[in-house]
Amino acid sequence: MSRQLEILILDDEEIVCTRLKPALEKAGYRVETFTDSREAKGRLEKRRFDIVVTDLKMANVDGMELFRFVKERWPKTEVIIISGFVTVDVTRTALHAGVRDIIPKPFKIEQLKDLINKVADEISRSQDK
Amino acid sequence: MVFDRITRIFRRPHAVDLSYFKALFEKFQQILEGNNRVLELISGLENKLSGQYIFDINYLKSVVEQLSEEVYLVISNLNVFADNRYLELFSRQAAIQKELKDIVEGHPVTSEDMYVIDYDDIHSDITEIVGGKNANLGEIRNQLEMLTPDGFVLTTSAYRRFMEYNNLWPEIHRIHAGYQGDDKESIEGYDRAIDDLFSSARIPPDVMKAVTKHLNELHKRQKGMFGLAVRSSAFGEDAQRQSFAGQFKSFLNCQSVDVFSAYIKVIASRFKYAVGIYGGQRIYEETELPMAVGIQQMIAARSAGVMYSVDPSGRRVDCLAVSASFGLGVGVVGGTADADHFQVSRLDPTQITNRRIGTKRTEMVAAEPRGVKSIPVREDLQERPSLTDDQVIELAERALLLDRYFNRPVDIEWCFDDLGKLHILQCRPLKLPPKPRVRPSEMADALASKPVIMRRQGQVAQSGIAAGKVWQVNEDDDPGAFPVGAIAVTKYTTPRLTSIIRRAAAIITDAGSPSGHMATVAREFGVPMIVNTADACKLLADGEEITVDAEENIIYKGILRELLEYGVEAEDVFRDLREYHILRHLLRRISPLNLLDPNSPGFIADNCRTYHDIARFSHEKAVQLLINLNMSSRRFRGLKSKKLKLSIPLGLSVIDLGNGLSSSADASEIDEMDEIQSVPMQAILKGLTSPGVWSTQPMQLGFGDLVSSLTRHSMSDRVAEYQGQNLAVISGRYANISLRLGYHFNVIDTYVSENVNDNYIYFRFVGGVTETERRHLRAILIKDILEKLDFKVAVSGDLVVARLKKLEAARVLQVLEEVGRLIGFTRQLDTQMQSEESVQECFRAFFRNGRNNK
Repeated sequence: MSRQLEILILDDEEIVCTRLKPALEKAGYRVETFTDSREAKGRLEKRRFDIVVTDLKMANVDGMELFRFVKERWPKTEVIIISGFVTVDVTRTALHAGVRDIIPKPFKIEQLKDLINKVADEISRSQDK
Repeated sequence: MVFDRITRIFRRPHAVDLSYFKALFEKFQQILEGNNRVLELISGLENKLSGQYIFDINYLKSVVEQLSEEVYLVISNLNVFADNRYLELFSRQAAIQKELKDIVEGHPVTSEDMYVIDYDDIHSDITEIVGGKNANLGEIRNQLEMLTPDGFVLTTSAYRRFMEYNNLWPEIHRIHAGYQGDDKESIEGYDRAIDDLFSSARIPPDVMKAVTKHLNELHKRQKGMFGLAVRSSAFGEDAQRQSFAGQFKSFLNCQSVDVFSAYIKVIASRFKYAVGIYGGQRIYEETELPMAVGIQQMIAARSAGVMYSVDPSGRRVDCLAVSASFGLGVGVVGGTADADHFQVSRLDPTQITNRRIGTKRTEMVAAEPRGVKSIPVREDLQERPSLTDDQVIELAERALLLDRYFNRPVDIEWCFDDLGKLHILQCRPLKLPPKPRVRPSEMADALASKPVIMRRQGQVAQSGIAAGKVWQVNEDDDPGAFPVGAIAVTKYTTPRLTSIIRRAAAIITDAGSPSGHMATVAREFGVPMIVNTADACKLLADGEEITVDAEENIIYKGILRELLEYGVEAEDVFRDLREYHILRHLLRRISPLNLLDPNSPGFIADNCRTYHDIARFSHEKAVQLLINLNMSSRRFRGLKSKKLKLSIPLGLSVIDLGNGLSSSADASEIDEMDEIQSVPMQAILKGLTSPGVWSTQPMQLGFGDLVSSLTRHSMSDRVAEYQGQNLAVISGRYANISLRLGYHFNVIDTYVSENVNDNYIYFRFVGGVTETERRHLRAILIKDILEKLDFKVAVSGDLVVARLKKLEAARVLQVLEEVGRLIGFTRQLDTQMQSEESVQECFRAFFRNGRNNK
């Protein structure tokens, strides 16, 4: 089996982290969760994650800001946004800027897991090359 | 106010004005649309119980807001429509909205001055005021209808009143500040000071009055009673990270006169030094750990003890543990030599897997006149088991039912009385000792090598993990024979199966839908369920041990302990979450349907207890009013509806809003179809009257149908029988048809013009006289047919809502003709619906007939 992919989850609602962590770990990923965007940013400064899943509207650092930071620091990291305030405009802006996908909340765990599996496949294929 | 003005316009006593009617009709449509939005929001909320969704508190807040707005709008529209006849709905809505707001913001719901509540009136909604253990006992007594001690609870409101009345908080803070040392002397000094403080405290007169009244009533109910137990039940004592088990005092076998002093001692025990070791600073905060106290009738126990629905020793997730002794069971705990210990399989609770019979030299019994005492056990009994095997099995099944009901491992105190009847004395979440476990991250690898029987077949209706023996259920099987803890595997989601949901560890079906009735019930009880797997019955053999992962939708061969352990934990995590509790709490005020029968005298606005009730009531009244308008109102004199003569007995009246009827049609009856000029109406009638469409098969009703018309289920029965005649409101391009056919209610609303963007068909179908499951099957049939006709369809139980938009006029008319055929075709179909197969059969028949007609 190839390297265990690493995922960082950031959402200021603790319930999102509490529930996503075991679900994604069970699917074979290594997961770190944060409810404080500044702490997450600090962590991302030091360490590369394969995938970052982040909320959009948060205190201090918002999702798009974090996305830009990640892309600058780790261009290969894929960013997925989960948000309760998804509009057409928000989606267009985010996807245009290079966000991998944007999932409106509430969502099925399966939906996010399928997306992550897809992204993970792409990552491991590109690494195999 | 705008609202008043509109209402006044409608009240204007002029003679006929078509624009009145048009405006009114618009209101009717708005009520209809609002009602649909409310139902959609409710079923969306119900789905979130399934464990498959990520949602947060913002979602709950926003749904509550949307729902409140929509319900308010429905009420406003109804009152415009009905001349302010239902204004009391506004106060019902406001009351519910306030409760919902309180719940979503985390405030307790019940009134502050409720000092005493009988166990008969306790349920989990009021945990904040009765404490967790009492709330559980209330659920066990009132929902599961098991035996629990009679009695009542002094609420957390009584506790606050007591603390305030005696001005105890400043004193407690003073004592706390004065004793900081950890040495024995300081500790004793601290506890003594607390005792002194409470010994001079008095029960507030209003609390005393309430307690005395309830004591007298309890005496009357329980003639010759055995004495009283006074037990603590603090709110928050069983929180995930802390347990205060055993820290708070309880008193057994008190007389009535002792109740007040025992109560004060129980409260005092909350402030003892030892509690502080567990609770830390938290116990000195006034809002924390409010103490409720249960006053319970003592049961004369022959044998008693404790049990754990998951064996905590070594964490055997596939076993449960029972410890027992003779007498009151005081002091019986797991593992000791002076009690009996049994280990029972959770997968098959008739299997006692291990037993250790202790030497029971003494037993605890009630003393005269109060308290308990230890007496010697007769010598020949000391080495004998305190329970028969049958009793152990009865206990094990009970433990599993409670584990299932509360969706987590539980720690239960129980006793058998002189007559051999089982009583549950206490039930609380079981704290499993921490143990190095398989981490979820290691699980992926561990599971990869396990033999899989089914992978991703069908849909998950309720997420979760379970293991057990397969028990195949056939439609004719006695549901009572289903063994507790087995995994139900069945072809269809038959209504008979609903009664085994509480007993099953998981449910797997060949057919069925996640939006069906059974799935709704499974979600309510948190039973993992996978539906529509096509061949589970073929692949899963009777008696085979399997593990169901209804998170990933995989079924493994054998019992996978690591997965089970993970499941126990994951379930705990979800069900411990504040948001989950809030959601359940909200749903109790939103989704149960109490107003079922529009003909009953109880079908009044004041009896609306939930948003679902209000939506249902408003819709019903609007339909009745619309249908009766032309007959009763002076305002519409001259705008009489006209009876339409058809070759089929439809009993349809028509109101023309303009250009719907030919000018020659001025008699009270329309004899000729060609007098109808409404284009969409023509198309529908063409389909409806086409040969062979009007099903004349007689109704076939079974016993279950009768039962189902007598009973109701709270969460998902959206149905009752609609009454009234059939009415079409039409114009040249528009038709709205409200039909009551047999026992179902059907609305078609459609507009057809040259402008593609204006064109739509709205189709709504609900109700029926038969069991929910068959109504649901019919709903599935209608959905399948409508989807084939390119509708977007949503099904919830037996409610079908379908929409089709933006089609060319010619295509809309084609579809409307099919819709006309569908109305006739499905008229009484639910009585013929037995299974998924009949759905497919009928589906084929519908389109076959359609071809033959052409």
